[in-house]
Amino acid sequence: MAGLGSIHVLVVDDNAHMRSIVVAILRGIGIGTVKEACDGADAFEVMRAGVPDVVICDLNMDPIDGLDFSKMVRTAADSPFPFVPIIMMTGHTERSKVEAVRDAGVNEFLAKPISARTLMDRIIAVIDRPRPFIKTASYVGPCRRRTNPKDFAGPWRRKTDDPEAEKAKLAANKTEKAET
Amino acid sequence: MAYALSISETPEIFPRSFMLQQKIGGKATSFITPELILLAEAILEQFMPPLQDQVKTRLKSISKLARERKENIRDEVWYHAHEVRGVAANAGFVNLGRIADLICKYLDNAPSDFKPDANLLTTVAVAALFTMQNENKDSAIGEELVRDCEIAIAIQLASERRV
Repeated sequence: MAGLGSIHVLVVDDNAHMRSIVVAILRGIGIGTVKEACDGADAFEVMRAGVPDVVICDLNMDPIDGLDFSKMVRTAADSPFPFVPIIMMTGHTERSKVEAVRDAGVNEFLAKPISARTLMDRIIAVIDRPRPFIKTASYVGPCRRRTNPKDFAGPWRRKTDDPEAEKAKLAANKTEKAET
Repeated sequence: MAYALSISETPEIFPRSFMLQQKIGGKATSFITPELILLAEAILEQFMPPLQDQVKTRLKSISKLARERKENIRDEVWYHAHEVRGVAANAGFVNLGRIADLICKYLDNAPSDFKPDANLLTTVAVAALFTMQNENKDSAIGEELVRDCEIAIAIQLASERRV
């Protein structure tokens, strides 16, 4: 079975109404399997029973909130699938929250009030625009750099980066551009 | 089967995976069409009036529970306020959400047998209801009510020595 019917989405929210809205939209557009969980711990159990293709999760949950849940999924030794794309929904759009969500290894951020269009956009993003997956001592999740500007000239932030090689590549690019 | 990632000092970079595109058999944009988005918007719209009714019912329950002075109502009141907060966020009722959040904060860290102040909760619940009904008409009233509720709850917390 191809198409959206082949997709399995897990919706995690401790607010029953919110959950029912997201589930209704997903089922309405033809997502094949939509499962629900009321908090991070419950979600982990549901994931163990069957790994979803996408997780849509709320930030404010009790006792395990969306940040802890994301970190668990990404780093726990018994995580069913650390690479699963996570879309985080929240009404908190302050910079500090957005950064915390990003640093927890979340793929996409969905600000409330959600609209069907923004929800669809985030689903499209995780399917059509996947990012490399990074694993470091301090971060596990999709690459936090969404753009790769050609004129980027550092600073180099990964231990594996080779600044000299990158500079040479950059210089070659510039020369090529000038020639064309 | 678990795919545990060991955390090491050496960064590892896994290339982009188009596994989901392969699974659905193409780009998501070819399946999630503008027509499908319109359908999703229509589904979302269907939820709005029932959501407002739910908010009203829950706010009434909050003040009723507080007035009845029954035992162990703290958790139930907190849950109603939490649900209102979530619904408000999704419905775009910013000030309603802030008032519901204040009720949650008033009850946070209180034991299950805590008896919340009936006057305070009834007043705040009425303010929340009024705010929801006027949210799209006059946000200044809502903002003023949020500030008043903040003050009322701060005073109550101080009087209960729970600051």
